[in-house]
Amino acid sequence: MNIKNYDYFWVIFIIALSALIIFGQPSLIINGLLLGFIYSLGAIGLTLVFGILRFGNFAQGDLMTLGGYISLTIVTVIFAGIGFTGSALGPFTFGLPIVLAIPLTMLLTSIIVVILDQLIYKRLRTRQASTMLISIASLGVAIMIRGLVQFLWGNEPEYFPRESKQFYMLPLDIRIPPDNVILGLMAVLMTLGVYLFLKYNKYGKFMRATANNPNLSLSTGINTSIVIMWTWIISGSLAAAGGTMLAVSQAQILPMTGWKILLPIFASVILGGIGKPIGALVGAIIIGISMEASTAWLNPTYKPAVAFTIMIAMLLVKPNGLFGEKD
Amino acid sequence: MALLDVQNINAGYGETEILHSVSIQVNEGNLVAIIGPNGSGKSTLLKVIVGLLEAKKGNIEFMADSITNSSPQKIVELGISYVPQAENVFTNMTIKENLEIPSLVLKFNFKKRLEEILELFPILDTKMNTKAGTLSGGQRQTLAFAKALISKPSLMILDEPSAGLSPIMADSTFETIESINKSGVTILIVEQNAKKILSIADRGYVLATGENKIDDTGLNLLTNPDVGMLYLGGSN
Ligand SMILES: Nc1ncnc2c1ncn2[C@@H]1O[C@H](COP(=O)(O)OP(=O)(O)O)[C@@H](O)[C@H]1O
Ligand SMILES: [Mg+2]
Repeated sequence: MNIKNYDYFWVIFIIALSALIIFGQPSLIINGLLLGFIYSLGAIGLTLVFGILRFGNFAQGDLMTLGGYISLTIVTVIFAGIGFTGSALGPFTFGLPIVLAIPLTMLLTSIIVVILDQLIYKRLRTRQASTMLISIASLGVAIMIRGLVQFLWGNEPEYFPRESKQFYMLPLDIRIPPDNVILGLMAVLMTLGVYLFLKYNKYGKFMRATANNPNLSLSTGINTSIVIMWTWIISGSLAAAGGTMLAVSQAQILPMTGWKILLPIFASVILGGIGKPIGALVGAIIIGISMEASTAWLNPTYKPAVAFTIMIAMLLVKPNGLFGEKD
Repeated sequence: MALLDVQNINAGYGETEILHSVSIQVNEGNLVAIIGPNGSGKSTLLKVIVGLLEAKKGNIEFMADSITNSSPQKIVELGISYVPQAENVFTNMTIKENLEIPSLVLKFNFKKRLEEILELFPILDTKMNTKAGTLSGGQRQTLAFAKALISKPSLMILDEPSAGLSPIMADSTFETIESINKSGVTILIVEQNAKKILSIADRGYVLATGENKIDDTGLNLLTNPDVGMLYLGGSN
Protein backbone atom coordinates (compact mmCIF):
# COMPACT_ATOMS: atom_id res chain seq x y z
CA MET A 1 0.00 0.00 0.00
CA ASN A 2 1.30 3.37 -0.95
CA ILE A 3 0.25 6.07 1.46
CA LYS A 4 1.22 9.55 0.46
CA ASN A 5 2.85 11.61 3.15
CA TYR A 6 -0.11 13.78 3.90
CA ASP A 7 -2.50 10.87 4.02
CA TYR A 8 -0.84 9.99 7.32
CA PHE A 9 -2.25 13.22 8.59
CA TRP A 10 -5.82 12.12 7.85
CA VAL A 11 -5.18 8.63 9.24
CA ILE A 12 -3.88 10.07 12.51
CA PHE A 13 -6.66 12.61 12.68
CA ILE A 14 -9.39 10.04 12.14
CA ILE A 15 -7.90 7.63 14.68
CA ALA A 16 -7.60 10.44 17.21
CA LEU A 17 -11.18 11.47 16.50
CA SER A 18 -12.50 7.93 16.90
CA ALA A 19 -10.57 7.54 20.14
CA LEU A 20 -12.07 10.77 21.40
CA ILE A 21 -15.59 9.72 20.51
CA ILE A 22 -15.16 6.32 22.16
CA PHE A 23 -13.18 7.28 25.25
CA GLY A 24 -13.49 10.99 25.43
CA GLN A 25 -16.25 13.52 25.44
CA PRO A 26 -18.30 13.58 22.26
CA SER A 27 -19.83 16.90 23.29
CA LEU A 28 -16.46 18.53 22.91
CA ILE A 29 -16.12 17.21 19.39
CA ILE A 30 -19.53 18.39 18.30
CA ASN A 31 -19.03 21.80 19.85
CA GLY A 32 -15.58 21.93 18.30
CA LEU A 33 -17.12 21.20 14.93
CA LEU A 34 -19.59 24.06 15.33
CA LEU A 35 -16.81 26.35 16.48
CA GLY A 36 -14.81 25.24 13.44
CA PHE A 37 -17.63 26.42 11.19
CA ILE A 38 -17.45 29.84 12.81
CA TYR A 39 -13.65 29.94 12.50
CA SER A 40 -14.05 29.03 8.84
CA LEU A 41 -15.86 32.34 8.25
CA GLY A 42 -12.70 34.16 9.30
CA ALA A 43 -10.40 31.69 7.58
CA ILE A 44 -12.13 31.85 4.18
CA GLY A 45 -11.78 35.63 4.09
CA LEU A 46 -8.15 35.33 5.05
CA THR A 47 -7.46 32.78 2.35
CA LEU A 48 -9.30 34.75 -0.35
CA VAL A 49 -7.37 37.93 0.43
CA PHE A 50 -4.18 35.91 0.33
CA GLY A 51 -5.17 34.31 -2.98
CA ILE A 52 -5.93 37.60 -4.72
CA LEU A 53 -3.74 40.16 -2.96
CA ARG A 54 -0.96 37.79 -1.84
CA PHE A 55 -0.64 39.02 1.72
CA GLY A 56 -1.60 37.66 5.12
CA ASN A 57 -4.22 39.98 6.58
CA PHE A 58 -3.43 40.31 10.27
CA ALA A 59 -6.46 42.56 10.71
CA GLN A 60 -8.90 39.71 10.03
CA GLY A 61 -9.32 38.85 13.73
CA ASP A 62 -9.93 42.44 14.76
CA LEU A 63 -12.38 42.86 11.89
CA MET A 64 -14.30 40.01 13.46
CA THR A 65 -14.23 41.87 16.76
CA LEU A 66 -15.43 45.03 15.07
CA GLY A 67 -18.26 43.08 13.42
CA GLY A 68 -19.29 41.71 16.81
CA TYR A 69 -19.41 45.20 18.35
CA ILE A 70 -21.30 46.64 15.38
CA SER A 71 -23.93 43.91 15.80
CA LEU A 72 -24.01 44.62 19.51
CA THR A 73 -24.63 48.30 18.87
CA ILE A 74 -27.30 47.61 16.28
CA VAL A 75 -29.10 45.34 18.74
CA THR A 76 -28.66 47.22 22.00
CA VAL A 77 -28.69 50.82 20.78
CA ILE A 78 -30.48 51.07 17.44
CA PHE A 79 -33.01 48.25 17.62
CA ALA A 80 -33.61 48.74 21.35
CA GLY A 81 -33.90 52.49 20.67
CA ILE A 82 -36.79 51.96 18.28
CA GLY A 83 -38.35 49.46 20.65
CA PHE A 84 -37.45 46.37 18.64
CA THR A 85 -36.48 43.80 21.27
CA GLY A 86 -37.86 40.43 20.20
CA SER A 87 -37.73 37.67 22.81
CA ALA A 88 -35.54 34.63 22.32
CA LEU A 89 -36.53 32.26 19.55
CA GLY A 90 -37.36 28.63 20.37
CA PRO A 91 -34.51 26.84 22.11
CA PHE A 92 -32.02 29.65 21.42
CA THR A 93 -30.75 32.28 23.81
CA PHE A 94 -31.20 35.08 21.29
CA GLY A 95 -34.02 36.58 19.29
CA LEU A 96 -34.81 38.18 15.97
CA PRO A 97 -32.83 41.40 16.59
CA ILE A 98 -29.51 39.53 16.51
CA VAL A 99 -30.56 37.54 13.46
CA LEU A 100 -31.41 40.75 11.61
CA ALA A 101 -28.34 42.57 12.89
CA ILE A 102 -26.04 40.05 11.20
CA PRO A 103 -26.76 40.99 7.56
CA LEU A 104 -26.66 44.71 8.46
CA THR A 105 -23.29 44.25 10.13
CA MET A 106 -22.02 42.29 7.14
CA LEU A 107 -22.96 45.18 4.89
CA LEU A 108 -21.42 47.85 7.13
CA THR A 109 -18.22 45.90 7.68
CA SER A 110 -17.75 45.25 3.98
CA ILE A 111 -18.11 48.96 3.33
CA ILE A 112 -15.48 49.60 6.01
CA VAL A 113 -12.99 47.14 4.52
CA VAL A 114 -13.50 48.48 1.00
CA ILE A 115 -12.73 51.97 2.33
CA LEU A 116 -9.69 50.63 4.22
CA ASP A 117 -8.47 49.08 0.98
CA GLN A 118 -8.85 52.37 -0.89
CA LEU A 119 -7.15 54.36 1.87
CA ILE A 120 -4.31 52.00 2.71
CA TYR A 121 -3.76 48.79 0.78
CA LYS A 122 -4.48 50.20 -2.67
CA ARG A 123 -1.93 52.95 -2.16
CA LEU A 124 0.66 50.41 -1.10
CA ARG A 125 -0.13 48.27 -4.15
CA THR A 126 0.23 51.14 -6.60
CA ARG A 127 3.59 51.92 -5.01
CA GLN A 128 4.45 48.26 -5.57
CA ALA A 129 5.12 47.72 -1.88
CA SER A 130 6.30 44.20 -0.99
CA THR A 131 3.71 41.81 0.39
CA MET A 132 5.70 41.73 3.62
CA LEU A 133 5.21 45.46 3.99
CA ILE A 134 1.49 45.16 3.23
CA SER A 135 1.17 42.40 5.84
CA ILE A 136 2.80 44.64 8.40
CA ALA A 137 0.47 47.47 7.41
CA SER A 138 -2.43 45.09 8.09
CA LEU A 139 -1.01 44.49 11.56
CA GLY A 140 -1.15 48.26 12.00
CA VAL A 141 -4.76 48.22 10.83
CA ALA A 142 -5.46 45.45 13.36
CA ILE A 143 -4.12 47.54 16.22
CA MET A 144 -5.92 50.62 14.93
CA ILE A 145 -9.25 48.78 14.82
CA ARG A 146 -8.71 47.40 18.31
CA GLY A 147 -7.87 50.87 19.58
CA LEU A 148 -11.06 52.20 18.02
CA VAL A 149 -13.08 49.38 19.59
CA GLN A 150 -11.55 50.09 23.01
CA PHE A 151 -12.21 53.80 22.59
CA LEU A 152 -15.84 53.36 21.54
CA TRP A 153 -16.91 50.43 23.70
CA GLY A 154 -14.33 50.26 26.50
CA ASN A 155 -12.32 47.35 27.87
CA GLU A 156 -15.03 45.64 29.90
CA PRO A 157 -16.92 42.71 28.42
CA GLU A 158 -20.19 43.57 26.70
CA TYR A 159 -23.16 41.26 26.52
CA PHE A 160 -25.84 40.58 23.98
CA PRO A 161 -29.33 40.37 25.47
CA ARG A 162 -29.92 36.68 26.15
CA GLU A 163 -32.23 34.29 27.91
CA SER A 164 -30.79 31.14 29.40
CA LYS A 165 -31.93 27.95 27.73
CA GLN A 166 -31.55 24.22 28.24
CA PHE A 167 -28.79 22.38 26.41
CA TYR A 168 -29.78 19.68 23.96
CA MET A 169 -29.22 16.34 25.68
CA LEU A 170 -28.34 13.57 23.23
CA PRO A 171 -27.35 9.93 23.83
CA LEU A 172 -23.74 9.23 24.86
CA ASP A 173 -24.04 12.12 27.30
CA ILE A 174 -23.68 14.62 24.46
CA ARG A 175 -24.67 18.11 25.59
CA ILE A 176 -24.87 20.87 23.01
CA PRO A 177 -25.98 24.45 23.46
CA PRO A 178 -28.76 24.95 20.86
CA ASP A 179 -27.14 28.29 19.91
CA ASN A 180 -24.11 26.48 18.56
CA VAL A 181 -26.29 24.35 16.29
CA ILE A 182 -28.03 27.28 14.65
CA LEU A 183 -24.87 29.39 14.50
CA GLY A 184 -22.94 26.49 13.00
CA LEU A 185 -25.70 26.00 10.47
CA MET A 186 -25.70 29.68 9.53
CA ALA A 187 -21.93 29.55 9.08
CA VAL A 188 -22.24 26.48 6.86
CA LEU A 189 -24.85 28.22 4.72
CA MET A 190 -22.64 31.26 4.32
CA THR A 191 -19.68 29.09 3.40
CA LEU A 192 -21.84 27.29 0.88
CA GLY A 193 -22.90 30.66 -0.49
CA VAL A 194 -19.27 31.65 -1.02
CA TYR A 195 -18.57 28.30 -2.65
CA LEU A 196 -21.46 28.77 -5.08
CA PHE A 197 -20.43 32.37 -5.73
CA LEU A 198 -16.88 31.34 -6.59
CA LYS A 199 -18.05 28.48 -8.77
CA TYR A 200 -20.91 30.02 -10.71
CA ASN A 201 -20.97 33.80 -10.39
CA LYS A 202 -19.20 35.90 -13.01
CA TYR A 203 -17.15 37.77 -10.43
CA GLY A 204 -16.49 34.54 -8.54
CA LYS A 205 -14.97 33.14 -11.72
CA PHE A 206 -12.96 36.33 -12.19
CA MET A 207 -11.73 35.96 -8.61
CA ARG A 208 -10.56 32.41 -9.22
CA ALA A 209 -8.91 33.45 -12.48
CA THR A 210 -7.11 36.33 -10.77
CA ALA A 211 -5.96 34.15 -7.88
CA ASN A 212 -4.70 31.60 -10.39
CA ASN A 213 -2.84 33.99 -12.70
CA PRO A 214 -3.05 37.75 -12.11
CA ASN A 215 -1.22 38.78 -15.29
CA LEU A 216 -3.28 36.55 -17.53
CA SER A 217 -6.50 37.76 -15.96
CA LEU A 218 -5.39 41.32 -16.65
CA SER A 219 -4.55 40.63 -20.28
CA THR A 220 -7.78 38.69 -20.71
CA GLY A 221 -9.57 41.94 -19.90
CA ILE A 222 -10.75 41.16 -16.37
CA ASN A 223 -11.28 44.30 -14.31
CA THR A 224 -9.02 43.44 -11.40
CA SER A 225 -10.14 46.45 -9.31
CA ILE A 226 -13.65 44.99 -9.18
CA VAL A 227 -12.21 41.58 -8.35
CA ILE A 228 -10.30 43.12 -5.45
CA MET A 229 -13.43 44.90 -4.25
CA TRP A 230 -15.41 41.65 -4.26
CA THR A 231 -12.61 39.95 -2.38
CA TRP A 232 -12.84 42.54 0.38
CA ILE A 233 -16.64 42.47 0.43
CA ILE A 234 -16.69 38.70 0.93
CA SER A 235 -13.81 38.71 3.38
CA GLY A 236 -15.22 41.61 5.43
CA SER A 237 -18.78 40.37 5.53
CA LEU A 238 -17.78 36.82 6.52
CA ALA A 239 -15.53 38.22 9.25
CA ALA A 240 -18.39 40.37 10.54
CA ALA A 241 -20.80 37.44 10.63
CA GLY A 242 -18.17 35.19 12.23
CA GLY A 243 -17.35 37.82 14.87
CA THR A 244 -20.99 38.24 15.79
CA MET A 245 -21.55 34.50 15.99
CA LEU A 246 -18.44 34.06 18.09
CA ALA A 247 -19.60 36.73 20.52
CA VAL A 248 -23.08 35.18 20.73
CA SER A 249 -21.72 31.68 21.30
CA GLN A 250 -19.28 32.93 23.96
CA ALA A 251 -22.07 35.00 25.51
CA GLN A 252 -19.80 38.05 25.64
CA ILE A 253 -17.48 40.18 23.58
CA LEU A 254 -14.18 41.81 24.46
CA PRO A 255 -11.78 43.95 22.43
CA MET A 256 -9.47 40.91 22.25
CA THR A 257 -12.12 38.40 21.13
CA GLY A 258 -11.09 38.42 17.47
CA TRP A 259 -7.36 38.81 18.03
CA LYS A 260 -7.45 35.63 20.11
CA ILE A 261 -8.77 33.60 17.22
CA LEU A 262 -6.49 35.16 14.61
CA LEU A 263 -3.90 32.49 15.30
CA PRO A 264 -6.34 29.57 14.97
CA ILE A 265 -7.73 30.96 11.73
CA PHE A 266 -4.23 31.43 10.33
CA ALA A 267 -3.53 27.84 11.37
CA SER A 268 -6.73 26.74 9.58
CA VAL A 269 -5.68 28.49 6.39
CA ILE A 270 -2.20 27.00 6.42
CA LEU A 271 -3.56 23.56 7.28
CA GLY A 272 -5.98 23.60 4.36
CA GLY A 273 -3.56 25.15 1.89
CA ILE A 274 -3.16 28.90 1.49
CA GLY A 275 -5.54 30.39 -1.07
CA LYS A 276 -7.95 27.43 -1.02
CA PRO A 277 -11.42 28.25 0.35
CA ILE A 278 -12.36 24.57 0.74
CA GLY A 279 -9.04 24.03 2.50
CA ALA A 280 -9.85 26.89 4.88
CA LEU A 281 -13.17 25.25 5.77
CA VAL A 282 -11.68 21.80 6.37
CA GLY A 283 -8.72 23.34 8.19
CA ALA A 284 -11.02 25.33 10.45
CA ILE A 285 -13.09 22.24 11.28
CA ILE A 286 -9.98 20.25 12.20
CA ILE A 287 -8.57 23.12 14.25
CA GLY A 288 -11.92 23.77 15.96
CA ILE A 289 -12.42 20.14 16.93
CA SER A 290 -8.83 19.68 18.06
CA MET A 291 -8.87 22.81 20.20
CA GLU A 292 -12.11 21.88 21.91
CA ALA A 293 -11.26 18.20 22.28
CA SER A 294 -7.93 19.07 23.88
CA THR A 295 -9.74 20.62 26.82
CA ALA A 296 -10.64 17.10 27.94
CA TRP A 297 -7.04 16.75 29.11
CA LEU A 298 -5.44 20.14 28.88
CA ASN A 299 -6.12 23.48 30.46
CA PRO A 300 -8.13 25.57 27.96
CA THR A 301 -5.31 28.14 27.92
CA TYR A 302 -3.38 25.64 25.79
CA LYS A 303 -5.95 25.74 22.98
CA PRO A 304 -3.90 28.05 20.73
CA ALA A 305 -0.87 25.83 21.32
CA VAL A 306 -2.90 22.86 20.09
CA ALA A 307 -3.83 24.77 16.92
CA PHE A 308 -0.23 25.66 16.34
CA THR A 309 1.10 22.19 16.94
CA ILE A 310 -1.24 20.88 14.27
CA MET A 311 -0.24 23.66 11.90
CA ILE A 312 3.47 23.01 12.38
CA ALA A 313 2.97 19.26 11.96
CA MET A 314 1.20 20.00 8.69
CA LEU A 315 3.96 22.30 7.49
CA LEU A 316 6.50 19.56 8.14
CA VAL A 317 4.50 16.84 6.38
CA LYS A 318 3.00 18.78 3.51
CA PRO A 319 4.02 22.43 3.38
CA ASN A 320 1.34 23.33 0.83
CA GLY A 321 -1.46 22.15 3.07
CA LEU A 322 -4.12 19.48 2.65
CA PHE A 323 -5.60 21.02 -0.49
CA GLY A 324 -2.54 22.80 -1.80
CA GLU A 325 -1.02 21.90 -5.14
CA LYS A 326 2.65 21.27 -5.36
CA ASP A 327 4.78 23.67 -7.33
CA MET B 1 -3.64 52.19 -43.83
CA ALA B 2 -2.32 49.94 -41.10
CA LEU B 3 -4.66 48.20 -38.67
CA LEU B 4 -1.99 48.49 -35.99
CA ASP B 5 0.57 51.26 -36.21
CA VAL B 6 3.33 51.32 -33.60
CA GLN B 7 5.38 54.49 -33.88
CA ASN B 8 8.75 55.14 -32.23
CA ILE B 9 8.10 53.39 -28.94
CA ASN B 10 10.49 53.70 -26.02
CA ALA B 11 9.80 51.46 -23.04
CA GLY B 12 11.49 49.41 -20.35
CA TYR B 13 11.41 48.16 -16.79
CA GLY B 14 12.03 50.70 -14.05
CA GLU B 15 14.96 52.86 -15.07
CA THR B 16 16.22 50.43 -17.70
CA GLU B 17 15.13 51.29 -21.21
CA ILE B 18 14.71 48.17 -23.36
CA LEU B 19 12.98 49.46 -26.50
CA HIS B 20 14.51 52.36 -28.37
CA SER B 21 12.18 54.00 -30.84
CA VAL B 22 10.67 50.79 -32.20
CA SER B 23 8.10 51.03 -35.01
CA ILE B 24 6.00 48.35 -36.70
CA GLN B 25 2.95 48.31 -38.92
CA VAL B 26 0.44 45.52 -39.27
CA ASN B 27 -1.96 45.70 -42.19
CA GLU B 28 -5.42 44.24 -42.00
CA GLY B 29 -5.53 40.56 -42.86
CA ASN B 30 -1.75 40.15 -42.71
CA LEU B 31 0.40 37.81 -40.72
CA VAL B 32 3.31 39.84 -39.40
CA ALA B 33 6.28 38.25 -37.67
CA ILE B 34 8.79 39.77 -35.27
CA ILE B 35 12.03 37.85 -35.02
CA GLY B 36 15.33 38.56 -33.31
CA PRO B 37 17.74 37.18 -30.76
CA ASN B 38 16.79 36.36 -27.20
CA GLY B 39 16.48 39.39 -24.99
CA SER B 40 16.08 41.81 -27.89
CA GLY B 41 12.80 43.15 -26.51
CA LYS B 42 10.22 41.28 -28.60
CA SER B 43 8.04 40.24 -25.66
CA THR B 44 8.49 43.68 -24.14
CA LEU B 45 7.09 45.27 -27.31
CA LEU B 46 4.02 43.02 -27.21
CA LYS B 47 3.44 43.89 -23.56
CA VAL B 48 3.50 47.58 -24.41
CA ILE B 49 0.99 47.08 -27.23
CA VAL B 50 -1.49 45.18 -25.03
CA GLY B 51 -1.24 47.66 -22.16
CA LEU B 52 0.71 45.55 -19.66
CA LEU B 53 3.73 47.84 -19.78
CA GLU B 54 3.91 51.61 -20.08
CA ALA B 55 5.26 53.28 -23.22
CA LYS B 56 7.59 56.12 -22.18
CA LYS B 57 7.58 57.66 -25.62
CA GLY B 58 5.88 57.11 -28.95
CA ASN B 59 2.40 56.37 -30.15
CA ILE B 60 0.34 53.28 -30.88
CA GLU B 61 -2.72 53.41 -33.12
CA PHE B 62 -5.28 50.71 -33.67
CA MET B 63 -7.91 51.29 -36.37
CA ALA B 64 -6.61 54.86 -36.54
CA ASP B 65 -7.33 55.58 -32.85
CA SER B 66 -4.57 56.09 -30.32
CA ILE B 67 -4.35 53.21 -27.84
CA THR B 68 -1.05 54.28 -26.30
CA ASN B 69 -0.99 53.27 -22.64
CA SER B 70 -4.61 52.12 -22.66
CA SER B 71 -5.58 49.60 -20.00
CA PRO B 72 -5.42 45.91 -20.97
CA GLN B 73 -9.19 45.88 -20.51
CA LYS B 74 -9.67 48.59 -23.12
CA ILE B 75 -7.35 46.74 -25.52
CA VAL B 76 -9.41 43.57 -25.13
CA GLU B 77 -12.63 45.50 -25.69
CA LEU B 78 -11.23 46.92 -28.93
CA GLY B 79 -10.80 43.40 -30.28
CA ILE B 80 -7.15 42.59 -29.61
CA SER B 81 -6.45 39.13 -28.16
CA TYR B 82 -3.04 38.45 -26.67
CA VAL B 83 -1.56 35.03 -25.97
CA PRO B 84 1.50 35.38 -23.73
CA GLN B 85 4.45 33.06 -24.13
CA ALA B 86 4.09 31.13 -20.89
CA GLU B 87 1.28 30.62 -18.40
CA ASN B 88 -1.30 31.46 -21.02
CA VAL B 89 -4.19 29.42 -19.59
CA PHE B 90 -5.82 29.39 -16.15
CA THR B 91 -4.37 26.11 -14.89
CA ASN B 92 -6.71 25.76 -11.89
CA MET B 93 -9.81 26.23 -14.00
CA THR B 94 -11.49 23.81 -16.37
CA ILE B 95 -11.17 24.10 -20.12
CA LYS B 96 -14.76 25.22 -20.29
CA GLU B 97 -14.17 27.94 -17.70
CA ASN B 98 -11.05 29.10 -19.55
CA LEU B 99 -13.10 29.51 -22.70
CA GLU B 100 -15.99 31.13 -20.87
CA ILE B 101 -13.98 33.93 -19.23
CA PRO B 102 -13.69 36.06 -22.43
CA SER B 103 -17.45 35.84 -22.94
CA LEU B 104 -17.99 37.12 -19.39
CA VAL B 105 -15.57 39.97 -20.00
CA LEU B 106 -17.00 40.98 -23.37
CA LYS B 107 -20.60 39.85 -22.78
CA PHE B 108 -21.16 37.74 -25.86
CA ASN B 109 -23.18 34.54 -26.20
CA PHE B 110 -20.88 31.81 -24.92
CA LYS B 111 -22.85 28.74 -25.99
CA LYS B 112 -23.00 29.74 -29.62
CA ARG B 113 -19.35 30.71 -29.90
CA LEU B 114 -18.26 27.62 -27.96
CA GLU B 115 -19.83 25.35 -30.58
CA GLU B 116 -18.03 27.18 -33.34
CA ILE B 117 -14.70 27.14 -31.56
CA LEU B 118 -14.98 23.44 -30.75
CA GLU B 119 -15.47 22.71 -34.43
CA LEU B 120 -12.15 24.41 -34.98
CA PHE B 121 -10.43 22.65 -32.07
CA PRO B 122 -12.29 19.36 -31.60
CA ILE B 123 -9.55 18.01 -29.33
CA LEU B 124 -10.84 20.26 -26.53
CA ASP B 125 -14.38 18.93 -26.75
CA THR B 126 -13.75 15.68 -24.89
CA LYS B 127 -12.01 17.41 -21.98
CA MET B 128 -14.31 20.31 -21.22
CA ASN B 129 -14.46 19.65 -17.48
CA THR B 130 -10.81 18.84 -16.85
CA LYS B 131 -8.47 21.38 -15.32
CA ALA B 132 -6.30 23.15 -17.86
CA GLY B 133 -3.26 22.40 -15.69
CA THR B 134 -3.51 18.71 -16.58
CA LEU B 135 -3.15 19.32 -20.33
CA SER B 136 0.02 18.58 -22.30
CA GLY B 137 2.03 21.48 -23.72
CA GLY B 138 0.46 21.19 -27.16
CA GLN B 139 -3.07 20.94 -25.80
CA ARG B 140 -2.46 23.93 -23.58
CA GLN B 141 -1.33 25.94 -26.59
CA THR B 142 -4.49 24.87 -28.43
CA LEU B 143 -6.60 26.00 -25.49
CA ALA B 144 -4.75 29.32 -25.35
CA PHE B 145 -5.51 29.87 -29.06
CA ALA B 146 -9.14 28.90 -28.59
CA LYS B 147 -9.44 31.23 -25.59
CA ALA B 148 -8.01 34.08 -27.67
CA LEU B 149 -10.16 33.34 -30.72
CA ILE B 150 -13.49 32.81 -29.03
CA SER B 151 -14.06 36.55 -28.78
CA LYS B 152 -13.65 36.94 -32.58
CA PRO B 153 -10.72 39.36 -32.30
CA SER B 154 -9.69 41.52 -35.21
CA LEU B 155 -6.05 41.24 -34.16
CA MET B 156 -4.38 38.30 -32.46
CA ILE B 157 -1.00 38.82 -30.81
CA LEU B 158 1.03 35.66 -30.15
CA ASP B 159 4.28 35.41 -28.21
CA GLU B 160 6.40 32.44 -29.27
CA PRO B 161 3.59 29.91 -29.53
CA SER B 162 5.93 27.12 -30.64
CA ALA B 163 8.30 27.47 -27.68
CA GLY B 164 8.71 24.28 -25.73
CA LEU B 165 6.70 22.16 -28.17
CA SER B 166 7.96 19.04 -29.92
CA PRO B 167 8.81 19.61 -33.63
CA ILE B 168 5.62 17.80 -34.66
CA MET B 169 3.47 19.87 -32.31
CA ALA B 170 5.25 23.02 -33.46
CA ASP B 171 4.47 22.21 -37.10
CA SER B 172 0.81 21.73 -36.33
CA THR B 173 0.83 24.98 -34.36
CA PHE B 174 2.15 26.82 -37.42
CA GLU B 175 -0.56 25.20 -39.54
CA THR B 176 -3.17 26.38 -37.05
CA ILE B 177 -1.76 29.90 -37.10
CA GLU B 178 -1.80 29.97 -40.88
CA SER B 179 -5.39 28.78 -41.05
CA ILE B 180 -6.52 31.27 -38.38
CA ASN B 181 -4.95 34.00 -40.49
CA LYS B 182 -6.55 32.67 -43.69
CA SER B 183 -9.91 32.81 -41.96
CA GLY B 184 -9.48 36.58 -41.79
CA VAL B 185 -7.85 37.26 -38.42
CA THR B 186 -4.88 39.61 -38.56
CA ILE B 187 -1.94 38.18 -36.64
CA LEU B 188 1.13 39.72 -35.05
CA ILE B 189 3.49 37.01 -33.89
CA VAL B 190 6.86 36.82 -32.14
CA GLU B 191 8.68 33.62 -33.05
CA GLN B 192 12.05 32.00 -32.39
CA ASN B 193 11.56 29.60 -35.25
CA ALA B 194 12.31 32.30 -37.83
CA LYS B 195 12.44 30.11 -40.92
CA LYS B 196 9.06 28.58 -40.29
CA ILE B 197 7.33 31.81 -39.51
CA LEU B 198 8.91 33.88 -42.28
CA SER B 199 7.80 31.30 -44.84
CA ILE B 200 4.17 31.99 -43.97
CA ALA B 201 4.41 35.66 -42.91
CA ASP B 202 3.38 38.55 -45.14
CA ARG B 203 5.86 40.78 -43.43
CA GLY B 204 8.65 40.42 -40.91
CA TYR B 205 10.56 42.69 -38.56
CA VAL B 206 13.99 41.94 -37.20
CA LEU B 207 14.51 43.38 -33.75
CA ALA B 208 17.89 43.43 -32.00
CA THR B 209 18.95 45.14 -28.78
CA GLY B 210 15.62 46.92 -28.67
CA GLU B 211 15.93 48.51 -32.10
CA ASN B 212 14.41 47.95 -35.53
CA LYS B 213 17.08 46.34 -37.74
CA ILE B 214 15.47 45.16 -40.96
CA ASP B 215 11.91 44.92 -42.17
CA ASP B 216 10.68 43.39 -45.39
CA THR B 217 8.31 40.77 -46.76
CA GLY B 218 8.62 37.33 -45.19
CA LEU B 219 10.13 35.80 -48.33
CA ASN B 220 12.66 38.60 -48.82
CA LEU B 221 13.81 38.25 -45.23
CA LEU B 222 14.18 34.49 -45.68
CA THR B 223 16.54 35.04 -48.60
CA ASN B 224 18.28 38.10 -47.17
CA PRO B 225 21.87 37.03 -46.42
CA ASP B 226 22.17 39.42 -43.46
CA VAL B 227 19.15 37.94 -41.80
CA GLY B 228 20.34 34.44 -42.64
CA MET B 229 23.72 35.05 -41.03
CA LEU B 230 22.36 36.63 -37.93
CA TYR B 231 19.09 34.98 -37.12
CA LEU B 232 18.30 31.96 -39.21
CA GLY B 233 21.23 29.88 -38.04
CA GLY B 234 24.16 28.85 -40.25
CA SER B 235 23.17 25.40 -41.54
CA ASN B 236 20.35 24.39 -43.90
N1 LIG C 1 9.88 41.93 -15.90
C1 LIG C 1 11.10 42.36 -16.28
N2 LIG C 1 11.80 43.14 -15.45
C2 LIG C 1 13.04 43.59 -15.79
N3 LIG C 1 13.63 43.30 -16.95
C3 LIG C 1 12.97 42.52 -17.82
C4 LIG C 1 11.67 42.01 -17.53
N4 LIG C 1 11.27 41.25 -18.57
C5 LIG C 1 12.28 41.31 -19.48
N5 LIG C 1 13.29 42.06 -19.04
C6 LIG C 1 14.52 42.36 -19.78
O1 LIG C 1 14.19 43.02 -20.96
C7 LIG C 1 15.00 42.59 -22.03
C8 LIG C 1 14.13 42.15 -23.18
O2 LIG C 1 13.37 41.03 -22.77
P1 LIG C 1 12.24 40.40 -23.66
O3 LIG C 1 11.39 41.47 -24.19
O4 LIG C 1 11.60 39.33 -22.88
O5 LIG C 1 13.11 39.77 -24.84
P2 LIG C 1 12.69 38.73 -25.96
O6 LIG C 1 11.23 38.48 -25.85
O7 LIG C 1 13.08 39.39 -27.24
O8 LIG C 1 13.51 37.50 -25.71
C9 LIG C 1 15.89 41.48 -21.49
O9 LIG C 1 17.16 42.05 -21.21
C10 LIG C 1 15.23 41.09 -20.20
O10 LIG C 1 16.18 40.70 -19.25
MG1 LIG D 1 10.19 36.70 -25.32
